[in-house]
Amino acid sequence: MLLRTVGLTKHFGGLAAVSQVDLDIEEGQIVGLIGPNGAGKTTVINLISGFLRPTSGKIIFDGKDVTGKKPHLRARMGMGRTFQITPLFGEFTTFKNIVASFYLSADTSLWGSIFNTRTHRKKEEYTLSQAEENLQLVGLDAVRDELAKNLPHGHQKVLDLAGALAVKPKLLLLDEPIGGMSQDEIGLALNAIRKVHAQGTTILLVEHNISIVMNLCDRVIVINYGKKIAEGSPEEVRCSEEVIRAYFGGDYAA
Amino acid sequence: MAAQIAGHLINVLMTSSIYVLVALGFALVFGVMRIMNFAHGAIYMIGGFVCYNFWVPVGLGAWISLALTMLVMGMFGLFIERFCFRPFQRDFEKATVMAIALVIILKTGADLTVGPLGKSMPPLVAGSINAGGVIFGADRLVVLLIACVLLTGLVLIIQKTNVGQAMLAIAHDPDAASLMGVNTNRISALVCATGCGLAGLAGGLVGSVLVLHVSIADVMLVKIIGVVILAGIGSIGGVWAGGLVMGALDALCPYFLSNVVSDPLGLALVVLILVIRPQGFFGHEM
Amino acid sequence: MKRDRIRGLSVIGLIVLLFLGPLFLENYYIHLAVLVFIYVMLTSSLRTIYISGQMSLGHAAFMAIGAYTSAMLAKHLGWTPWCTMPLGGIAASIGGVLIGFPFSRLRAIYFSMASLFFGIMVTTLVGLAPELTGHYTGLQRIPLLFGFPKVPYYYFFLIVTLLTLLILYRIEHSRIGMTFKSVSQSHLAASSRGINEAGIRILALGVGTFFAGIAGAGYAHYAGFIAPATFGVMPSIFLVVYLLAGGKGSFAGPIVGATILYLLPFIMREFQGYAPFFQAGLLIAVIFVIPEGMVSLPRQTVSWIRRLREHRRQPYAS
Repeated sequence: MLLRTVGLTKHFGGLAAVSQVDLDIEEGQIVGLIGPNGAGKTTVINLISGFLRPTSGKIIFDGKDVTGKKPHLRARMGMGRTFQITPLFGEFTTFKNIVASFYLSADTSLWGSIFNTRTHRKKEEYTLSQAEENLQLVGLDAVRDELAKNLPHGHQKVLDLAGALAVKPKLLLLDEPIGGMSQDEIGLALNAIRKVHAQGTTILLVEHNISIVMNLCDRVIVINYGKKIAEGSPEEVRCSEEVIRAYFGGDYAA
Repeated sequence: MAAQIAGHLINVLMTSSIYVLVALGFALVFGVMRIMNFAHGAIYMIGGFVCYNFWVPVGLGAWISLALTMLVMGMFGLFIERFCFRPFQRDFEKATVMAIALVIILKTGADLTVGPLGKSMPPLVAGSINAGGVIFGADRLVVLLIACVLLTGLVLIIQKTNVGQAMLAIAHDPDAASLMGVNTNRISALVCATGCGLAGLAGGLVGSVLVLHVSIADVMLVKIIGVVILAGIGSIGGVWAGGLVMGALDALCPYFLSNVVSDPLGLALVVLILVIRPQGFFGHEM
Repeated sequence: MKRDRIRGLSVIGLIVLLFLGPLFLENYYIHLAVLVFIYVMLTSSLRTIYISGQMSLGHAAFMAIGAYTSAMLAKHLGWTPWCTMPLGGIAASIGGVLIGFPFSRLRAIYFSMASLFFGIMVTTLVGLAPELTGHYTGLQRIPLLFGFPKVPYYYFFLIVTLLTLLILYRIEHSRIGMTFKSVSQSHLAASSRGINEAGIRILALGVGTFFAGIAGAGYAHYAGFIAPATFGVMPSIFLVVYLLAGGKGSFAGPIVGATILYLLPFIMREFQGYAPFFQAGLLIAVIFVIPEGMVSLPRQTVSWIRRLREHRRQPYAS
């Protein structure tokens, strides 16, 4: 069990954004997290990755309880994520964004930096070559020297993905990775996601585009009003009464 | 005993009211125009000297000088709003840099014209009051009364008039306000003029009670930033609380604790608030 | 790469000239040079803190910590300045790290305010032990590094400044520098890539304040006299002015800014009093016309000229 949440709950004032959500994600799976708008999907991702503190419940990652841990510590344990509102290092070029994201692979000692030691240089060369690979993997080679803030929206999302991969994640949390993308960009992104999964990374994917989720994922979890309402293979979920009711209202069920 | 308390109370209230007068202008400019006017302390100081010039060399006497000072500094406020701040409305960084440039210019101007000497005006009202054993100048009481009247007037204007409501609206959401038909430029000009006028007047008042010197600009700037932080950056209504705390600290500390401790104490308090509760007592998150 | 080579050669040429300086300069100018070196150190170290996203308005206070620590240890305990100066730097750095813990997690504007107040607070601390610190009138008869001749000081500060700049340059262009800049651009991106934001910011503070402390300590043992007024609000603000006017976006910016703006009053001689007008004017010019600072002036004029020429040739081209 790579990721497990137990009774994950988040209240904002009186509002229960996420309520008693139990998740079990095994290594190597691609799991989709879907639900109507405002269901709490992004909140779940924020809780798992540490950007929000749960009101109650536990998060166990790779066998360790990470519930109180800050996001950067979870990243170091192998949790990578992308964001809905892509945060980038805007003033850096595309390539430099990826290089900067390889922080964990680099030598960050003061001594090494000042004296440009062998270790420092070696690690920097390594990160440069890794960044190059990432760049090719996500297909952004053409815009490598563009400032990140000038990239079209879709490219920015792909760049965010490339950055997330830089932490060498065991678990990759993708929050609406293809939202707002053009057809070509979607192709690029899906390609990259498939490749990453093939290399053994576990993926938890939040996405609105149901057909993509059904296509890509081994398992699907459905959330509505902060609660888990269905879970299973894509086919099982598609036919589930609960799910249909959640999306289309009571009249369409059964 | 009671008399001593009365004496201290007057001191605290007087100090606080001056701080609130000046800090309010700063807070208004920040709340409505989103600009941190670093030159505000210098405006207070210059107002003091302007008042001195009307009062002593020109000989216009206390009340006319004070009124004129408020007018002159108010017009100066209009000037700096139009030419220094309006071009940088939405650019906080550049506006702040502009304010820094402004304070350098103002202080240097003061250094060159006034010089290092102190100036002082005669008290507003002659004589002293004897409150059961504690003697203090009647002018302090008058300063306190004037400050209170002005502040009450300002509060009434903000709460009861359209203009005041417009100010609050802009402070809350400038875009929404202008969509509602509020002329943000005119309100900004008014706010800046009011702030500068009040600061200048405060300078004049202080000049009649204490001594004016170019260095009071820096001291006051630090105090009012402290007041605004305690009140909460962005809060206008909370300035009275911040002013009261700061005034109490400054008036009482040198007396009850040693002089040495009172300086760092006030500053440490502000730092503490910044760390524990950056929004201050009444502010909202920026 | 020709531009790089030109740049590299001119830097080397400049350094050589600087080393030959005392041969041509009289004592007064040597004195000015020493002060310029000190202010270059201060402004550059301020920039190191700035690139991590923190605009410190209290940098002069760390100069004070370094100065007073070193001066008091040397004067009251009789230790040699060569020992106390590094200690001054370390003291300042410890101060920086200590305030980093509460301050570095604050948002930019709150950090600036906190640093402003901290800076003022430090200058008032002299009141706590007036016999040791000399109170507001200042600490006198601080043991000097080299006695009275000025030339040794020139070389000392030249070497220390060059070393400082070298170290700061290396840091900025290394992984750490990249991380400083990452943290200043995106909180979310940095955290999710494993960067301990607060820790990095504290590191930036520690490094920047260290060199401010060294500068301060050096100053103390050069001038022989220090007073709180040298380290208060306005000096801190002026450091920010030097940085902004020179160019906050480039490594050479603070060097250019500090040199030109600090020397301005001295260049103006009898009109010294009017110098701040020009400093303020430069600042305003920078915001309006050259937002990237004086250091970008050569590059900008070149592109202006180029644009003018093109416009002359084809005035109606789009």
